[in-house]
Amino acid sequence: MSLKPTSNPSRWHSLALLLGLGWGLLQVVAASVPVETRVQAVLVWGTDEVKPTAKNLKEVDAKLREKLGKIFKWQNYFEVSRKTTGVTASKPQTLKLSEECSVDIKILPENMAEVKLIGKGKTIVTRRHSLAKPDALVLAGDDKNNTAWFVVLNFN
Amino acid sequence: MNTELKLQALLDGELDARERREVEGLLAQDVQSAVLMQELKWMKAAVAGNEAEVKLPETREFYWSKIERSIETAEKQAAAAPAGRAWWLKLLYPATGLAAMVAVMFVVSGGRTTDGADTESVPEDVNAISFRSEAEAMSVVYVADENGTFNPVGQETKNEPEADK
Repeated sequence: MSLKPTSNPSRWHSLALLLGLGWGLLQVVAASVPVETRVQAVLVWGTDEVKPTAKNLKEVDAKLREKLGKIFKWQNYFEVSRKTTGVTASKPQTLKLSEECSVDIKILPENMAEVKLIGKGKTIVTRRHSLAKPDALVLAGDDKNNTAWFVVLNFN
Repeated sequence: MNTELKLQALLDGELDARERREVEGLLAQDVQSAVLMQELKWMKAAVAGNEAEVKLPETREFYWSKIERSIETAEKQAAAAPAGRAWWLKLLYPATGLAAMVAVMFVVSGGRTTDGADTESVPEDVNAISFRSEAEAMSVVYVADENGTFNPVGQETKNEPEADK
């Protein structure tokens, strides 16, 4: 009696088919769970003046300070407010950063987010931002007395 | 050799002189053989007069070589057909699985194949510029408003700067 290595191709093919279908099923299950994008919004005031008194202001963290300092001209960057939320495609969020400023955040198809900066009830700027890049989104503008405001949004 | 074959051989001129004399003697004595011989002559005449002539467009050797090649080709195809079917069947299950995976991925991804591009829009009365700092990993939209009509920071936050230390 001789022993020969045997192989049944149809068995391997069936196994491959089952693995493929199983993997597809996992993808469907994963897709049915809404993916939440964590969004952190920081309102920053940029000025060349020193820190105002009696105000609950703190300087932005060193990393953000360095990044802003390399792009913009101001010497000091103070954090006015910070808000964090989770956004899904079916659940847009609004973050109120100050009395006059809020941001509407919506997740769009094609791995995009839409951010609307609202000031006094009016849309100042609408930005569609690709979430494929690791970039922070900075909405900024001139303020009085040669200062500037910044809304720094990080998506995770 | 029976009588019929002898008569046929005589008709075809295949008998030697002695055999021919013997058969001719038989025909003179036997009426049935003479009738049969007459029928064979009619048959030969009818066949010779109505046989269709086929002219080949090429030489005989080439004509038969074509037939031979056709037979060989048909035999090879017949031999290869089961193997081809088996090859097709071998790929059927993996191909089905792969197609199912791709279909699921397409459905899961919502049919998208690329990421969208960054864009921004502002009201007509607002001037904005946008740029990207790759080094700082920042995409910036800067709203130019020299009058500072939009004050998200709030005046109460800015006033009374701390005395220089």
